[in-house]
Amino acid sequence: MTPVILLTGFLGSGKTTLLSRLLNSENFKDTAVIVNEFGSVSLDHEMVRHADESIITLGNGCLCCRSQSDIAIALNDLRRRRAESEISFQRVVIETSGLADPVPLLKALGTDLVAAMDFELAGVVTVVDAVAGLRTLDQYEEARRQVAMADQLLLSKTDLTSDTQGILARLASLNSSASVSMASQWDGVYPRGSSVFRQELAGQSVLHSQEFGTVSIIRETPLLAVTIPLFLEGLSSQLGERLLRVKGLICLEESPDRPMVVHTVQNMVHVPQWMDAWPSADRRSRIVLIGHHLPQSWPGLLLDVLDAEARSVAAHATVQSR
Amino acid sequence: MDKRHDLWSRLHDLLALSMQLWGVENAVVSAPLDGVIEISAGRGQVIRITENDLPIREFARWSVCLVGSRPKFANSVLGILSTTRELLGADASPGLPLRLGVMGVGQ
Repeated sequence: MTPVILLTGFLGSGKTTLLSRLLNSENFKDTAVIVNEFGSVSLDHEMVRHADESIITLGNGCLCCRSQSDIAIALNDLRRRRAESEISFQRVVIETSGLADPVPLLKALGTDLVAAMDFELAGVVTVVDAVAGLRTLDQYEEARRQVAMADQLLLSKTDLTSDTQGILARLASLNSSASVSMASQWDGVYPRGSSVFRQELAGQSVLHSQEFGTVSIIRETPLLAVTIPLFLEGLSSQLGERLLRVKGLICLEESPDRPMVVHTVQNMVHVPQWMDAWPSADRRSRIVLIGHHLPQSWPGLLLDVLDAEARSVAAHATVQSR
Repeated sequence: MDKRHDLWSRLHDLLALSMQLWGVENAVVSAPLDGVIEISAGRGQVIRITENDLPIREFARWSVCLVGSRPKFANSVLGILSTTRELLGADASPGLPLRLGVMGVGQ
């Protein structure tokens, strides 16, 4: 599978500068790029200094507002050209326009059957301007959603300011589960899979900004497998568009040695995956919800009730079968 | 605490929090008593939630009834939530149906 990285960030945050640097580095030398620009004249792709022709520009319109098949068409075009030995690449970066909402993009990617045959989502990288970022986040919901959906946050223009405490605190309040690095130092090594949970989630800690926030659920005892789809269905049916993302590393009673990795984007559930082993000695189930106006205790309680109900049904079935 | 009582106790707490989630904070959820939870929804309306013990309980495990009306059946706690919400008319923020994505996520 070829990993696809969604590179996002508000207008002027430094996405193109970052991409240009990365494409000339060893880690990203075999990278195909899909550039989405907002405006009638495409410029960004000209600014990306790259040696070969593996750059596709989707111009004149924000990718998240266009038909969902645009991404699939672009990915399929890359795949065809690779199959015909016209180009070669080992990963794809989709650089969104600065106004793009990552949610519909991720849903479009995640539900495209053709794209899913060759590509997998590596994650969302969001660039945030250290100088203007606070003001941008205050003013624009698109910018807040870009941060809320990120797996990796990159702070750009840190050479122009020494005061990054405010912006770092704001980023943590919007998305406490993402890793944060300096854009100028980031080498493209992506925090994958379970490493997104490396941040300490202390108990039921909840960090909330005015709108967007993170709810963390940690459970010591393994959960029944049937509880998980019910839980995700309950979240989607009751929280609706408030919920932007769920990430989970879950210990199942039926498979305690192989944690299940769950990713959802709003109401779309990615195919769950099982790791070969736990990445650390910590075998607790950890689930992170990202969204806006999320209730703090309700999701964890829903999980507990559904697990209790599943156990009650299983116990009843056992009695009946005797 | 036995498992059945534990489930009822948690269900009560979940329903109480759900009232806040749905913006119907004037509704009062009674403590579970003899396998019954009642929600006083104002204007004399009472929603009664009971557990069925029917032969078809796998399909109709729970009964959610606006007192005086025919009961609606639910096969899980999720059904209780959606039915109660519907009976309360709390649809200001509708949910989304779950969709299964086909693309994997790299580990």
